[in-house]
Amino acid sequence: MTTLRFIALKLGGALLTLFLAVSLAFFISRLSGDPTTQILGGLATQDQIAAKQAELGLDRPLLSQYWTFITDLLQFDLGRSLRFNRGNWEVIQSRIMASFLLAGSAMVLGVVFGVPLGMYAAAREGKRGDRIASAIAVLGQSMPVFWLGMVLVLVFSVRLGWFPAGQSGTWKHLVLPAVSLSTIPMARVTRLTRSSMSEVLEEPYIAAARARGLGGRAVMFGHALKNSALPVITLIGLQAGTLLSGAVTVEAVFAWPGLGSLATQAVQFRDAPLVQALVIVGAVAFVAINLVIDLLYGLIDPRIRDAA
Amino acid sequence: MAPDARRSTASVLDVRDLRVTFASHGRGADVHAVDGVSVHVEPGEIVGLVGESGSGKSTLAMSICALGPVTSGTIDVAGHRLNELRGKALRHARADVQMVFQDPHGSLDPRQRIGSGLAELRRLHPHRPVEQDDATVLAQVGLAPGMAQRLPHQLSGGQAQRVSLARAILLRPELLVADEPTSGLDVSVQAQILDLIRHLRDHRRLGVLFISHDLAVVRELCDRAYVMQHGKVVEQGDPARMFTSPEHPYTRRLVDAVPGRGARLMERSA
Repeated sequence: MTTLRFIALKLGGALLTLFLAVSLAFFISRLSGDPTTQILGGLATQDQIAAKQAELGLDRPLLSQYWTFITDLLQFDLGRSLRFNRGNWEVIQSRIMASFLLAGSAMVLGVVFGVPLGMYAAAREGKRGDRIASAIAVLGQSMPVFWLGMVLVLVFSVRLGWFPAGQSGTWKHLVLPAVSLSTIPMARVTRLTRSSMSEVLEEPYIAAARARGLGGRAVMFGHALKNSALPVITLIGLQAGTLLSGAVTVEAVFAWPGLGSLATQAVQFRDAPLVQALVIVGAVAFVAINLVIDLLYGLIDPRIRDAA
Repeated sequence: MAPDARRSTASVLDVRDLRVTFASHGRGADVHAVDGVSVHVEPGEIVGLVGESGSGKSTLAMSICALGPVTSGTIDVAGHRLNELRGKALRHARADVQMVFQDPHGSLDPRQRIGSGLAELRRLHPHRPVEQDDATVLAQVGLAPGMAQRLPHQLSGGQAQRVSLARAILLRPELLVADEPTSGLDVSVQAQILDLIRHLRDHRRLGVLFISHDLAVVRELCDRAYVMQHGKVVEQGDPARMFTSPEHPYTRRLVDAVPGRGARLMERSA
């Protein structure tokens, strides 16, 4: 019963968040001005503009437009792109897998390197190993991703010729953009793992485990890791959303055909419906990932489930 | 009779001239947390260690459990020179000295079921003649077998402290170091835990180093006691004698600071 209640609470929260995000996307895109002049050009007559406005429904009152927007959305209709003259969802669909692939790879890389590095730093707190690991994290966090991307292209594509400099297709195309993008989650995961774990290592049950004869590795992996995982998992959730929608610069450097470069195009052409659809898709992804994380909490920490 | 006359090679704990110094790295003088302390515990003996916070008693306990640093001196537990062991040898020797902490829940991993914690101990010390049956171990500390399925947050403070004791005795240690094991508990639960410690001493000839600031408890429970101040043992002997006619001014101050028994009871029922 408590588990069902827990899930229902989290689900309700997620839907509310989604509704607010979607509404915000709608009203903000209305604030950005009338797209009809952009579509028709500066020479359009007053009648042509009025006709286009009627066609797009822009002449109706705002709340009426909002109502149509919401009812369409409930039928999974994201509207039409002005630039591509196709359904927004169709346009996004052609790009979304590339984005998932890039964001997912970057996240996996970030976690695979960040968690052990953070654990290592926590185990050596205050010693040289800790300082080196922390320096790597600071470096990763402060390096602009697009700059790293260009350096990687110079070294690994131009000079060594190991990996292609752009486009997509094979796993080789994925390596450089994923590595560049992974520095963001890696740096944050390292820092948070380190601080979360060094906090847990101060807990009496860690001393108790050592006193009972557990070795350093058994303490780290058997007790400390699980108990310091929660903030790190939260961070992964937050970063996943950011990576999915925020890979704009990396996608630009590597000409990666994902949502980031699509968003750039949509903004450049003042394709308001497409921008709005991209924001909605981003919000759905963000909320969905965080819902999964919230539900995972209950699995990882039974105290949270019992408290709900 | 000299206080150390009973010291023998059979001691479960023999600490000699132990010093623990924390370097100040140029900020004032070094801190001598433990400053030339010698204590010993015999099998089947409960020895009190009394002092205010900052007297060095917890630092001493941590060193005895090989959880804290040792600057000089020796710590022998059940015949092992504990402070010279490293790595695997140390991990094996740790089974002989078990510890119960002050915070009942603090020493339990919040994500580990009680039974899984007991199983972990057996895995860790496969060559030791440990208690094989969870139900038996739990029964010895007055817990039902079903407790093995619980998580720490589902236990009361008293139950959690019993679990800590169960884990400690599972390995059949020679020495139990109990650092303020009852100060986080209700009075009635305190008495149960103290009875349990007494029972373990009587039936297993367990040596117990009982660290406390509660003179009444030490007087009631302990066969001998040490009083520590500023990292040194300032008085030792029979607790009944020490706390009725203290010799050292610091012990006198400690005794005077305890309100009368009646006053204490009133205070607690209020």
